[in-house]
Amino acid sequence: MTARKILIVEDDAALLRGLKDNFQAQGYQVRTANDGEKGREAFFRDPPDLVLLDLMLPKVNGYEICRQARSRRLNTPILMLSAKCQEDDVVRGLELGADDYVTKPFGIRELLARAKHLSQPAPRP
Amino acid sequence: MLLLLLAVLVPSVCLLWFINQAVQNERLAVHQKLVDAYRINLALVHDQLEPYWRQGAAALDAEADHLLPPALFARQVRAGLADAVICLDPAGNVAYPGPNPTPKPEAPGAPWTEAEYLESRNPAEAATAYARLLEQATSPDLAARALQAQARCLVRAGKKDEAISLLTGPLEKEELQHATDAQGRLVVPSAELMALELLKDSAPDQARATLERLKKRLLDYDDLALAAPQRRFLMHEVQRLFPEQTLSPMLAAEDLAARCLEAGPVRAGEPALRPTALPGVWQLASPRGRVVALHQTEALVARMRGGISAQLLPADVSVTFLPPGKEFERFFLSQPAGASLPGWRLALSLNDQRLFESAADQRIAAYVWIGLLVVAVVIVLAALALRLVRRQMALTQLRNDLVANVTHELKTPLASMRLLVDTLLNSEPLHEQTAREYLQLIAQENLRLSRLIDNFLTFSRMERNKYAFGFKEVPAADIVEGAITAVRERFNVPGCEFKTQLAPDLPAVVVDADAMVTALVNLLDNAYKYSGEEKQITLSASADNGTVFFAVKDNGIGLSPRDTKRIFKRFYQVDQRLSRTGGGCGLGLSIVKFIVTAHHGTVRVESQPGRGSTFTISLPGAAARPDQEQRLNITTDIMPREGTRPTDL
Repeated sequence: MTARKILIVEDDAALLRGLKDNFQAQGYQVRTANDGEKGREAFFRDPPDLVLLDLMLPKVNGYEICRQARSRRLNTPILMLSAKCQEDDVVRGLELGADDYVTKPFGIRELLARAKHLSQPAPRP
Repeated sequence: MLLLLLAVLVPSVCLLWFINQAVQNERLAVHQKLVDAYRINLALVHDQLEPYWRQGAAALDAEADHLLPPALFARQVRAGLADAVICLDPAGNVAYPGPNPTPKPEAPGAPWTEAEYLESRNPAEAATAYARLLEQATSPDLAARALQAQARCLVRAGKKDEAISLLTGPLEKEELQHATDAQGRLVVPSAELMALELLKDSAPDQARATLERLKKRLLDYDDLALAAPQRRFLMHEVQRLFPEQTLSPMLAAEDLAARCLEAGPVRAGEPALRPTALPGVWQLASPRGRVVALHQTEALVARMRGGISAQLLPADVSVTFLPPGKEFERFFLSQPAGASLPGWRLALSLNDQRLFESAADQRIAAYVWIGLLVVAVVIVLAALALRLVRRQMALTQLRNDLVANVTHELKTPLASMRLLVDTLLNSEPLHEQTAREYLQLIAQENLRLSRLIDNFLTFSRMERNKYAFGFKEVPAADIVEGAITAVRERFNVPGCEFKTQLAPDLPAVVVDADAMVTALVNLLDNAYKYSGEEKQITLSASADNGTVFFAVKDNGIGLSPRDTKRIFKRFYQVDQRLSRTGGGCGLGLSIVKFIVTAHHGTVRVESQPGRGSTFTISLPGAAARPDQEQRLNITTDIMPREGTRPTDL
């Protein structure tokens, strides 16, 4: 079984570094992007098994990337990561097609567990 | 927005409606005023017209007392007092014009019958027979009749000249002047007409003399012998033979009277103007019923106009006399013409309609101007209100954004730190290098968090005017050094070129050192935040003429002139999305401005979009400062504020 591919789109350098190290340690093949434009480009060019998407991004925000991905019929699981913790924000993200939503600050083990669940291929009947 | 539009539209429409009503009222009022003024004039006309007709009718009776009917007819018509007159005798029978003369059936005897019998067979012999009868004639009537018949027969026999000499010679004798024929008609005028017919073409001069005689006879209304029907017949014949001869107004008057009598009996004894059976002809009977004057509508109106004196009316109006049934509503003012003129109306019209318009327009213009002014005021007030609401909404929006930003800005470093600390704690023993890097990142995030909190607190105090500065004399270089220390670590990364330029011999400044360092660091943070991949940031300090300048120059995205005006306002961020790269809440520059203003300094910006910006703080040097070593509480007037205060942070 090949390593699961994950794309992390996050503009905060420290957070990005921590996430990257953790996912690599879990055996993921990690790609990163530090703004919305780069993230979207990397996402659409080579869809990974999971996208970790911050919402408040420079240039193009996370909602927009999610919307565009779904309108292109990309079914890649998307895990939204945001400091916005209002119910409205969470609902909006999920309605746009996100598979899960984690608010900052978060525990890394919980995040890894959710990511693992999302990136696993659907069990065959 | 819709509400505001309604708030403008509804009063404006109402006002316009009111003005419209007012204008209409004003028109009516002016109209009424003019009507009231001119009604008096019209009443005067009425008062003068009434006796004019009453006296006119009475005068007819007076004339009937001393004039014979034909003479009265001629006088009224010639004087233009009436178009025709019908005179009645005391019994109410028509005295003039008419009636037909009574025939005089004088039995002329057998020779006359014989001569008449010959007339159609042998005109020449008949003429001889009539000549014999002339010699035997026992009365002027018979003599004249014989002469007339002889002339008639001679014409038939082709002896025109003989006929003419008979007609113009013997028939003109004095004793034959009142001779009549069997029907009672005068013989001489008929003979003259016959002569005219014969002479007209052959002897114009002779014809003219005969014509003058005949005309004189026809127009002599004192001669009672000539009956009206014969007069009218002869007049028509003369007119037919000599169309250039004028017999007016008598011929027209005779015709009118005759037509009127033919149309029906006249109503006598009613001294008021009544229509006759003839259309367009009116009758006025005298009180005693001796005379009925006839008037045609046009002439009647002209007589009425002549009957009122010109001084009664102002020059700018004119009076029209309207027969019954004529429309009078379009006139400015009208009233019944009086008892003598039943059904008639007096109508007054303005010669110059603009007189009324201008009288009304002046007042109306005032209304319209007031209306426009009020509408304009309402619009201006609405525009002001709209602006205020918009600013308020914008401020509210900024404040809402601030809350979201604060959340984000505080949570992001916290999330990073928690993640890194968790990783350090939970992972298998990390490489020492990695652990060190993590600790550095944590330190950085910690610093960022502190700075953010510092800024929020400054802002919060600033909002409450609680910021107290501790002024001390500090070398300008120390301030620069403080700022460099604060940012050195962050700026010391690949892709960031940070330079400092310190002029020698910088004077000291009297400042709150911590606050001034905060101001400079905010400027440097902005420079870092808004610059691209290859950052070139320069911090310089210089002095000129006792003033110290701190400048921060970058090669970032720059500012549009529009942005330049706004950046020192609270919460304002040039590009909401870009700002996310470096965080921030739009407070930095407003804090800078606050601090610098409190130091009696100024902050200005020079910028070109896409090329970069230079922010310069100028502070008075220690020697120039007025309130040296003073501790000072900032009061409201130092801090420019707009809108309401956001809640404290």
